[in-house]
Amino acid sequence: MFDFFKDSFDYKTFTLAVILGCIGLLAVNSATYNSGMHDYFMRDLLWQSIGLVVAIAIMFSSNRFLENSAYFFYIVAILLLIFVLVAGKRVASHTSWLGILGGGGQPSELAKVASILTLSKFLAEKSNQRPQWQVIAIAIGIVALPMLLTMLQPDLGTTIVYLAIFFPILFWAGLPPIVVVGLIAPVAIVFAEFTGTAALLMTVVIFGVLFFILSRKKLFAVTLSFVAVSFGLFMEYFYRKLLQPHQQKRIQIFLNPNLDPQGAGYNALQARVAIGSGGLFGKGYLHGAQTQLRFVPARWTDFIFTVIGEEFGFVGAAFTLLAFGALFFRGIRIAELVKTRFASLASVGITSVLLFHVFINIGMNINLAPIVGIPLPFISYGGSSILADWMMIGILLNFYAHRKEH
Amino acid sequence: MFDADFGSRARSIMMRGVIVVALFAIMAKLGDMQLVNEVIYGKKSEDITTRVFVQQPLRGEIFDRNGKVMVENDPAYEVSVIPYEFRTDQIPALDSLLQMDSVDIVRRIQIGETISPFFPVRLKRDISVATLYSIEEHLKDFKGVYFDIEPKRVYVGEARAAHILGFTKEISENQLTTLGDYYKPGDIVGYTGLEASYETILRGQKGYKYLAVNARGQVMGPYDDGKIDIPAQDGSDLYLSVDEGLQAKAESLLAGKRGAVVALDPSDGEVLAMASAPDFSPEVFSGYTSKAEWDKLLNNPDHPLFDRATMAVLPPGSTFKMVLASAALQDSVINTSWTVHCTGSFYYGGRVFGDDAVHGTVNIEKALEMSCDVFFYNLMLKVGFDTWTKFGRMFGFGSKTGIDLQEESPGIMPSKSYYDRIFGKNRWTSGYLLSLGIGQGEVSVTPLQLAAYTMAISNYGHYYQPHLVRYIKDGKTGKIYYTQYGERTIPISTEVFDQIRQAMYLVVNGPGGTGHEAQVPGVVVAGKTGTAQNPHGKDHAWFVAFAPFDHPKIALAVLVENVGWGGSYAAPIAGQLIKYYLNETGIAPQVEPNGVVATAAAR
Repeated sequence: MFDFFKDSFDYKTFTLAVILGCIGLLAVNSATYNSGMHDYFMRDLLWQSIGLVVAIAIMFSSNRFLENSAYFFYIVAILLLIFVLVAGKRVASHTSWLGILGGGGQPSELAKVASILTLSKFLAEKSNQRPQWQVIAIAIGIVALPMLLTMLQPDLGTTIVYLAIFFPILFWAGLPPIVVVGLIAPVAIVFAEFTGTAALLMTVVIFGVLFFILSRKKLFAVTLSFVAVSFGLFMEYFYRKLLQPHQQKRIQIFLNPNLDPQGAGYNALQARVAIGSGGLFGKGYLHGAQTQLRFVPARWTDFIFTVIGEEFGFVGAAFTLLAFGALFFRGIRIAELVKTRFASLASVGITSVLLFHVFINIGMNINLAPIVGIPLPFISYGGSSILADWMMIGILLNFYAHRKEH
Repeated sequence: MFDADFGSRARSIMMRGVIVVALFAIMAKLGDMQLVNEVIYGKKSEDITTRVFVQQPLRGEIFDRNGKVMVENDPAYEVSVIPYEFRTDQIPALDSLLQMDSVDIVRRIQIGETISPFFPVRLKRDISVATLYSIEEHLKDFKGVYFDIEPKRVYVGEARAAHILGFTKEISENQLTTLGDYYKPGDIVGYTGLEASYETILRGQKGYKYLAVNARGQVMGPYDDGKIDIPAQDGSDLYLSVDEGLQAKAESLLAGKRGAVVALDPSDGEVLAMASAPDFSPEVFSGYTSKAEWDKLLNNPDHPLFDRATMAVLPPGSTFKMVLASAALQDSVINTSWTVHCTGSFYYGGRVFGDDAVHGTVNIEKALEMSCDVFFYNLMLKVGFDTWTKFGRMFGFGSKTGIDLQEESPGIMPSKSYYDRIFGKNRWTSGYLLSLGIGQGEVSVTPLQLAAYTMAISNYGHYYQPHLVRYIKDGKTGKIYYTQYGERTIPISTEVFDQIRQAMYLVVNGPGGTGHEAQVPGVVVAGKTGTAQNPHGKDHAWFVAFAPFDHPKIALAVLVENVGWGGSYAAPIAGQLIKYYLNETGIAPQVEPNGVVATAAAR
C-alpha cells in the first residue's frame, strides 16, 4: 500500500480535483444560502463524496480493466439513453428517472465518459485497418449515436460536448491536419450559417485557404473547397427555406441571447453585472448582493461562476481558472506518460471535454459563449455531472498508476 | 493515415496551446469586467436594481345573445407587499388593519419570496374603503406595503347564470404548479364555467413595467428607458347564445326547488338558457372570499356549486322511450300497426314488471302518448340490447356533448360489454333489459344530453354540438371571431321522425297524453314526460319538449328532483318557458356583427 502511494498515486491530479470540488461546495452553499434551500449543500457534499469514492475505486482497478470494459460501458450508456428517452416521454418533462436520487440525474453525463473510452479503444486497436475511410466512419458513428440520442432528449448543450470528444481524440490519434480540418469544416459551416450569412462566407473562405495550405495536391484542395462551398449553399437554402421563422428565431436566441431581453438575455445581463461588480477581491463570502438577492437565475447550476466572480472577485476567479488549467496540463502530461495508446487517447478526450465545459460554461457567464446549458465541472450543482467529473479523474488516476505497463 | 503522428510533440504543444488560449481569453474578459469596468458594473449592481410592476389587463366581459351585459369589471382596492422591503415586525399591525390571519400573511409572503423577493405579493384584495383610508393614513409607517386598484368581476342583469358564467377566484397553490408560468400567486383565475373554459381568452395578457430603484428603495424612473416593458393586453369579450330573459325566467321557475333546465335552439344547438338550482352568486368569489362564506357553499347539502344541468347523471325515465321507438321503427323491427295488450303489468323471467295503469291494446303511437311501460318491455325484447345501445349512442348518450364548459359528465349508456364489466360475464339476464327499455336501471343522462336529444328529434336528426359562446370580440383589435362547433346527422329517416314527433305531439295534446300541463295557448307544443325512480326518496320529474311543432325554435329538458311525477312537476315549467320565449318576448332580432370565422373552436 505504501509503495502505491510512493510511486503510483498522482497527487497532483487528485489534489487539483479536491480543490475544485471544495470550491464547488463553497459556491453551492453560497448560491442557495438565502433561499431556504439548505439541503442543496448537503446533497452536493453527498455527491462529491460519492464521486471521490468512485474515483478512488476506479484508480485501484486493474491495468486493462477500463480498456476491456469500454464497449460494455458504452452499450449500457446507450441503453440508458434510450430508456430515458422512452420513459422520460411518459413522465412528460425531461426530468429523467434518475431525478429520484435528487441529483437531476442525466445518463448523458455518464454516456460522455463511456464514449471517450470507446472511441479511444477503437482507435487504439483499429486505426491502422484499411480502408481508412471505414475507420473514420465508425469513429463518427461511435460519437454520433449518443449525440443523436442526447439531441432527442432534447439536451442541446450536452450534444455539442461530443464534438469536444471527437475532434481532439482523432487529432491526437495522428490524423493528418487536412483530414482534421476537413472534418471540422461541415460542423463549423453549420454554426456559421446560424450566426449569419457574413459569418458563413468568411468560414467557407477560411476553410478554402486552410485546404490549400494543408494539402500538397492542389486538385484535392480544389475539390474539398468546392464541397465546402456546396455544403454552405445547401445550409443557406436549408436555413432560409426549410426552417420556419420561429425555428430560425429559436436558433438565433440560442446563439445570441441578447435577442431575448425577457428571457435568456436578461439572465445573461444579470450574471455579467454580478461578476463585474465583484472587482479584484470580491464582496466577501455570502455577501454577493446580486447572487444572494437572487437576481441571478440558476445560480447554483449554469450560472454558479457568478457566485465565485462576485464574492471572491478576480482573484478567486483566476485561482479557480488556474486550478482548472493545471488540471488540463496534467491531463495532457498523463497522455504523454502512459504506455498504451488507449490510455493516451482517453486522457486527451477527458482533458478536452473538461476544457470545453469550463470554456463554454464560464464563457456564457461572461458573454464569451452562447447560453448553452452545460455545467461547470466539479462546481455546478448536479449529481450525475459531478459523478461523471470524478469518474474522469478516477480514470486519469488509474492511467497514471499503470503508466509504466503495456 | 493515423500512425505517423500519434501523440507527437508538435501535437501536444498545440493541445497545450489551446488550453492556454482558452483560459487566457476568459481571464482577459474577466479582467476587463472586474478590474477595468468594475465601477460601471458595481454601480449597476449596488445602486440600481429593477423592480417589476405587473400591469393587470382587464378581463373580457360577457354579453347575452341580445348584447345585454352579464359580467363586467368594477374597480376594487388591493393591498400588496414587496417581500424584500417588508419587515416581519410589521405583521401584527398589518394583521389588525386588514383583519387577516398573521399565519396567512406570512405564508403568502413566503410563497412570493420563492419566486422573487422584488415581486409584489398580494395580501388582500377587495378591501373596504375604510381599510383603504386607514392604510393610506399609515402608509408612511409601513415599509414595503402598497395598495393598488384592481378590477373585480361584477354580475349585472336579472339572470344569475351562475353555473354558465362560473366564477373567478385567487389562484390556488395547486393551480400555480399546474397552470404554467404565466400565473403568479395572487392572480385571479377562472375556476368554473365559461370563466374557466375560456380563461386564456378572457384573461388577456399581463403587462410588465420595469422600474429602476436605488438602494434606498426610491424609484429612479423607468429601467432601460422602458425598452423592455411589455404593455398589458386586455382580454377578449364573449358573446353568448343565452337569452338573459329566458335564463332569468328559468331560474325563477326553479327557485326553491332542486333541478335543472336546459333550452336549446334546434336550428344550431345554441344554448338559450341553462339553469341549475339551487345556485349561488358568483359575486361571492369575485372580491375577497371569507372562509365562512366558502364553507357555507361547500357544506350545503344541496350542493349549489354543482351544475346539475351538465353534471347530474340520473335515469331519464320515460323520456328515453323515443330512443327505443326510433330504433324499432328505423330497423323495421315493428311498424305502427304492431300492438301489445297492456294489462298493467308484465311477467318475465320469474318477475313482475309493473306499469302505472292498464292501457289496453296500444300501438307505438298510443304507447308513447300514454307512456305505456308494458309496450316498451315487449319492444325492448324484440329490438335487443345492441340495437338499443347503438341508437342511444347516436343520440349522444354515454358521451359528453362537448359543450364549451369544463364541467360535464358523459352519463352512462349501458351496453353488453358494460354489463359484462359491472355484473360479470353471464351474470346478468335479459330481464335487466326491461328496465332499460323504459329508461330506468343503469342508463343515466344529464339534462343537457336530454335537451340535445330532444333538439335532434325536433329538427329531424341534426345533432348540433350544444354551445354557449357565439363569437369572441378580440380585446386588442375589436375583431369578431365566430366560434365553430361540430354537427352531425343522425341516420334515421324522415318518416320515422314524423311518427316519433306525432306521438310527442299527442303526449301534450292527445286525449290520453301525459303532458297536458305543458300546453301553451297559441303554440303547438310536443313533448314527453319522464319519471326517474329514486331509491333514496321521491322520484325525479323529467319533461322534454319542443315548440312550435312545425318549425321548432326551442327544445328543452326540465328536471325537478324528488317531487314525483314528471307530467305534474316538470311539464308546467317547460310550458311556462315556451310561453315566455315564443309569446311574451317575441324572439328578439339578433345583433349580427361582421366577423371572421374562427378556424377552430376557440379554446
